[in-house]
Amino acid sequence: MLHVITGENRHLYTQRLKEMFRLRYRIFVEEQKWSLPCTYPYEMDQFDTEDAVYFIYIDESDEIQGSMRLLPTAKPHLMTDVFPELCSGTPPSGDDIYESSRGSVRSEHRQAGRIWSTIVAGSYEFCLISGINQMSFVVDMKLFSAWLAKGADINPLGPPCEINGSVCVAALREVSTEALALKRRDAQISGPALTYIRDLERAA
Amino acid sequence: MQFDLEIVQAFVEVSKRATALDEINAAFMGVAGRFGYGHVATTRLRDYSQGPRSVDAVVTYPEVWKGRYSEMKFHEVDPVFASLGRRSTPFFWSGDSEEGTREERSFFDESRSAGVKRGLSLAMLISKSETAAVTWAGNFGEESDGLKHMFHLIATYYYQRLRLIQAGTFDTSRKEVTLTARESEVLQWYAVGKSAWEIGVILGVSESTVRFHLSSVRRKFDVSSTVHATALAVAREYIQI
Repeated sequence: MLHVITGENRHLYTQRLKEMFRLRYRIFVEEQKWSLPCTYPYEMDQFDTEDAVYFIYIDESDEIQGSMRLLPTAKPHLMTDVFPELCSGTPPSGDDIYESSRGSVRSEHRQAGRIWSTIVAGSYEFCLISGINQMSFVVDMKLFSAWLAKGADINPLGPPCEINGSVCVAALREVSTEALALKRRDAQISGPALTYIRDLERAA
Repeated sequence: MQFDLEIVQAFVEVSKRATALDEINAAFMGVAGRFGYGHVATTRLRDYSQGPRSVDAVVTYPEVWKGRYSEMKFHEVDPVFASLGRRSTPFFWSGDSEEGTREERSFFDESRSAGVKRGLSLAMLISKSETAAVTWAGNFGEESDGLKHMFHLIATYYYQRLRLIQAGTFDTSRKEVTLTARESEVLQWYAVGKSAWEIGVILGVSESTVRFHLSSVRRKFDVSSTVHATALAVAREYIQI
């Protein structure tokens, strides 16, 4: 199940968030060797606040298999504070634009891509019901190229630059019902991906 | 020159609307020309020892030079060609320098007289076994970091759109084809030159079963020859050879 965690239901997910920060440490610090401002065993930064929106995928074994984070661009976020060199002009900002970051799934799921597609589909669903029309992100050029190969409608925001040992680019994409339909197809689901729990009885 | 996002975005917009090869190629050559590069070259490389594959290539070099290149097996000498396998970001190259082996210098002497003196190239991994190379070349091309970054984005958008167009994605008359796992498997073996009998032995089925699958494939693509169906299946990337 794919859960969305916002400032509103965050109190129901205290343990899950810790588990997610631990998984992020494993993936981004230990495995990808990113240099991040965090301390073992949790990978957390200055943007992991009540404003952040998280998507976490929990499987039948009750373990988090992957996650992703959305930050409001109306407030400081990665493109404004960490990677300003990636944007040629002012990074896109506004109430209807969120920036996605720290998206990943456990290595054993990367080849298949189904769980990652489910997470992305769920994030689109959240955007569509929250009036978020665009998503900005920083991505490795090789992955960016692979998305273009599948016909993704994405626009670059600045020059490719080297970050944590790989050449990355900042980009922006429209969130649309068509984009959601394509992601659901990749995720092999026909209906909503998202589970939004607000009351305690139904919490994970 | 500095990185100019507007130039990149202008190309991105054209590339997103392009549904025909002529459109995307004209836009790509147009932007190359703007920076002093009179030629573009786009090839897929599978096996480096074989040299560039000409099947889906878009190469505007003079015919005489293209002929010389393949006739002399210049890919064995061309240092740019050798670099493509090792680099995943764009790089400038030039035949001006006095460095390099005697063969390399004489290669560049010829290349210069053909109007291919310097250039900017990007290699992109497009599948496990295939790399695509995109190049701007000419005698007066600009060289700067800003241009290198612009080229990285423009060449990536160009090549991926080119592939989508070549695969028939925007061909409205095209019928959507879904091959079964067995049909792709049979066609895959056919594409590498196996006979129906041989495919039967490989897959442990009878020759007539193989023929039956191949006839289903022809029917699905609405063509009368298996060779034609194979060409379509490769172009649309249902199978890889």
